[in-house]
Amino acid sequence: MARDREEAAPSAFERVVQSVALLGGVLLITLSVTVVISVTLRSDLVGSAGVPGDFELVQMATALAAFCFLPWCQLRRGNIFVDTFTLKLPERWQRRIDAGWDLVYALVMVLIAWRLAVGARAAFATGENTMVLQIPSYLPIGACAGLAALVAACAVVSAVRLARAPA
Amino acid sequence: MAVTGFSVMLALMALRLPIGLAMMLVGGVGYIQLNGLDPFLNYIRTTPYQIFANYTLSVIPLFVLMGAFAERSGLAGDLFKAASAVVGHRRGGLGMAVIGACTGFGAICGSAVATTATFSRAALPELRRYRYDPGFSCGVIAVGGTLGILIPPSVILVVYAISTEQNIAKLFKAALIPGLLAAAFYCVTIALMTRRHPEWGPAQPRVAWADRVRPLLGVIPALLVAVIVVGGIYGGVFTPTEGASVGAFVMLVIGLVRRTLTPTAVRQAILQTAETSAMIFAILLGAEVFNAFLALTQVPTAAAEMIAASGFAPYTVLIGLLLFYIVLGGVMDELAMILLTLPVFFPIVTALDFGMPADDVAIWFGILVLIVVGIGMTCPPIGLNVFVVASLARDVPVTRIYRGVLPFVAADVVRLGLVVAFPALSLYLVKLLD
Repeated sequence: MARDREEAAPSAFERVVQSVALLGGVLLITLSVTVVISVTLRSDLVGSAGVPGDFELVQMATALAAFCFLPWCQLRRGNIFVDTFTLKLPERWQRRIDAGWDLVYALVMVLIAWRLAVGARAAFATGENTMVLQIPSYLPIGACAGLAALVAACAVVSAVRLARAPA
Repeated sequence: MAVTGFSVMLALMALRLPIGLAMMLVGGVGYIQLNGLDPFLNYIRTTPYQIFANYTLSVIPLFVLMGAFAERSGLAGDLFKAASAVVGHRRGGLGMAVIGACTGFGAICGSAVATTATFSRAALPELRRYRYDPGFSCGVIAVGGTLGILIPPSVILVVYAISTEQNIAKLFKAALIPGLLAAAFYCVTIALMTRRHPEWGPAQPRVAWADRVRPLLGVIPALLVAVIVVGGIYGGVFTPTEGASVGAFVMLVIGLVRRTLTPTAVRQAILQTAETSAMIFAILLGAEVFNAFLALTQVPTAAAEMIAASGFAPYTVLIGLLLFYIVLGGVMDELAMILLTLPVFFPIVTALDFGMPADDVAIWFGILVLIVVGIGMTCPPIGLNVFVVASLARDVPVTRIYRGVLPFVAADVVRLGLVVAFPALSLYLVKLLD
């Protein structure tokens, strides 16, 4: 089966998407370590002010991690759908429907990537920064725009895979 | 307009359209029809980033990560060994040990699927080795797995808190007594079932007290994490984000120290977290767009006013909604179900007069929804937990697992009735710990 072959030797694209997901995980772990340090600093044991801007960092890291995770989820086709009513359809038809929806998802993600990119440009133009750390807002928003485009690419890849899968 | 939106969306969902995407599409089209294209383009210029750049939202991936580490930490096996040393000599005792261990594990893991998968690996082979009935054993594990969400921390409760803007710490407090009640009810059910079918759960030789000490000591790490994380959130020492961060971090350290978390295991845990969190996030994004559309139609408030003025007894409405959830849970993923319905149901329920403040009703309803979600995860015809067990115990037919699960579903319905009739079961601890 095609699937076994892929699992034996993941494509370069798959490896990239997996690395992005792992990066998101590293970001999440970094976030938790930052918060742990902040909590420790703020506790009565140390009594200092905590990590400056930890609130902002958590917000930014959560958004980035979310967008790092979305491509991997799509490539694994991990999104939830209801299959109760289509179980009787031949598998070939089910795959075709799924491939069609993947393309719709790709279009939606292209739209989101475009709008986020516009948003990032606006933030760049106005020189908007975060409150405490003065990080330019366009950086995380722009990164999310790029990752949304990657989600779209993953949706196209999974649609092609479904369409090509042997009957 | 809203009704058309709902019907189109349900039709698309029946045609395999992923749930988050369905909400996004229908919500987007509805938004454009009501408000025009430009406002919509403006809306999605900021929303996809803003909704995820949320301090409280980070609790979800952090608890998922904590659960993924816990799953690979070996703590579940220790909990099970300790519990079976204590109650294994009873009839069905190993089943009760599974429930007891799941209760402990539920306090360090916020996901039902992760708990089920963990115990399918850690306890199922043992139950089978001691000639427990296969369908019964799998059923006990599928049901025990729901304790992952019934005992705080609970990802489902966090999702409820975020979508209804309720306090996570209060919901976690409110969930504890009903969660422990669930564990007690499951043990009673096991006792009753094995009394009728003694061959389902043969008693094991009694373990001497002296030999119980070692396995019991193995419980300490899990207990410590639970006390730090849940205790910290209860006591107001941590915000939920801080509690979840500490939990994920401590669990990682425990796994590294015990050498159960190899680099490969950490990698797997991250990828699993990525997939699970992204699945939740995609639905959250869809729900956000759909809710923006619903809010424009003003249907939720109108529906709430209509039902409040209709003269139906509050309890009739509440029981109707809960029954609707149980039915809907039969065809739909529970998480998607609550995100889809809460924008309409929540204002309805909080507008009803149950003789207590609306804030209390909001917390109480969260626990009722949680119980119903737990039922949906084991109840036929879908039952996610049952599928998880079945995928790891391939020789046991799914129908047989369902037969093992049904008596527990009955116990759950009784518990649901109790919490409906006595809101204090959930609200007492909230008041006590405030």
